[in-house]
Amino acid sequence: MDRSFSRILLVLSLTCCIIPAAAQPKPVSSPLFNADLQRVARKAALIFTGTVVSIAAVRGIGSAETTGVEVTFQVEQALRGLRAGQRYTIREWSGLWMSGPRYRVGQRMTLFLCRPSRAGLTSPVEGSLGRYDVDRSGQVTIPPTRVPTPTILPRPIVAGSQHIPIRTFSRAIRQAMEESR
Amino acid sequence: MTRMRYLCSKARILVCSLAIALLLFALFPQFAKAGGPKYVAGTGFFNTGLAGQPITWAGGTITFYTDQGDLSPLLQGANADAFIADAFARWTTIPTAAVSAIRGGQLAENVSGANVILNADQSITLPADIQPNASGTPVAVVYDFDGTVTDTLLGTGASSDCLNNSAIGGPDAFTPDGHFAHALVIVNGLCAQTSAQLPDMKYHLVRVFGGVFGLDWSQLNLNVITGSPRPTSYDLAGFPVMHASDSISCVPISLCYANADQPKLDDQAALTRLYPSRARTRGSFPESSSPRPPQREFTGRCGSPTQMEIPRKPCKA
Repeated sequence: MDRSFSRILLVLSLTCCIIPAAAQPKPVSSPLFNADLQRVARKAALIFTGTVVSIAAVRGIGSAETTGVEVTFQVEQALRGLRAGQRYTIREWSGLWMSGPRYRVGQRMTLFLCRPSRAGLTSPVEGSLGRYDVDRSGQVTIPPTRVPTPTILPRPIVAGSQHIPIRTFSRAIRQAMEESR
Repeated sequence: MTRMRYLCSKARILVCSLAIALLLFALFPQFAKAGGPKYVAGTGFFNTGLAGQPITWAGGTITFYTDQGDLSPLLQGANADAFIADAFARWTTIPTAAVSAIRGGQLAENVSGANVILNADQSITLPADIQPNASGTPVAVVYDFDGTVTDTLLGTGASSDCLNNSAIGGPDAFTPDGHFAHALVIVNGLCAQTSAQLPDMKYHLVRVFGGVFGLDWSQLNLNVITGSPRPTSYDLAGFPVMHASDSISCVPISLCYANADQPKLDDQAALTRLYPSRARTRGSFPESSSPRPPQREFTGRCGSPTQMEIPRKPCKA
């Protein structure tokens, strides 16, 4: 392999690494996102950050039919309704499991959940607004749909998902909970 | 020696091209995922040889059954049925796709919070003809007049969220030959209380019915949501109805999109790929072009999605 070819590869590799990193938006405080957070926090009966430790199908006795899915979390940080360190199992309607976003064992996330119904079923408040993935480095992913659409707000907005540290996110949730009281 | 040099130079070009392609996909990931199937056959439950095939309704035909009750004071009985049929028609009138939706009749009951029951063993009983094994009613459409069914299934208060919970559900059972066996859709009557709410309800129904036909979300023209690059009128016109989610600032939906409930080109292409119509496609394109829609790679749910089974095995590339 000659030098010029190595250089091309080096430049391409560096470009691949540097450009996406440079394109990562810095954590910003969006008034709209804060409003979302306040609303979701107000509606949620349970707010916590935890890791999925098990997933199991719920079947009636003597029935092959699955009517729900039980997802057990190891709660790391409890912001409403739970205690840090406890294991908590939510039950999700099987139809939601089939059609909506699922959970996977090992997934770490912050959840805003509806009060479980009389059937014991719950789901994230306002769909995707009530569930946030937390990566291994403790960064919370906030998808781009949490920001206003440009068709009505013509200013350009930050592209792609935003990532903020879990501590900053938890602080924002606490603040939103205070403000939504 | 000359031949060796020639081969080296070819290999170099190939490696460079691959690197550039990777770079482009890294920088412009939105180009990588247009609309496609939501479910693909896995192994274990499905017949041998079907793994990786998209799951569709056999013959492209959906037969739906509607609730005996009213959807809301505004949409009662036959009016509600017509509203549902019109939402299905957004998909069935796509000229290049071989799909149809026929109303088969009524369900055997007025589904309400009263007949969604929690049993002593913590399982839930739904009326027999809306359960996944109800082969006689392949697509059940429940009119949740007071939101209690939605609240029971999603949690207390969920019915008040019309942006996300106007219509919920989708396919919930499959056949071993790689087809859908059943789907359940619950329509939240609390989101159809005024005539101003109906366009949004129609939009949400069209999106859910897209899922019933087997379509997944599309990421085409995502700059319409992110704003970067600033969307053109073409981006907006082609923004798929099957995009993943909307901001709360899009209520009513007309604030964000014109003709929100009309499947766009990407939606139409995605449905056509799932249900190609030789006759219709031939009529729509010059004879010289292939009547078979172009094949594409797709992403979808992995594993072995038997009736309500949790997938155990990931898809293999």
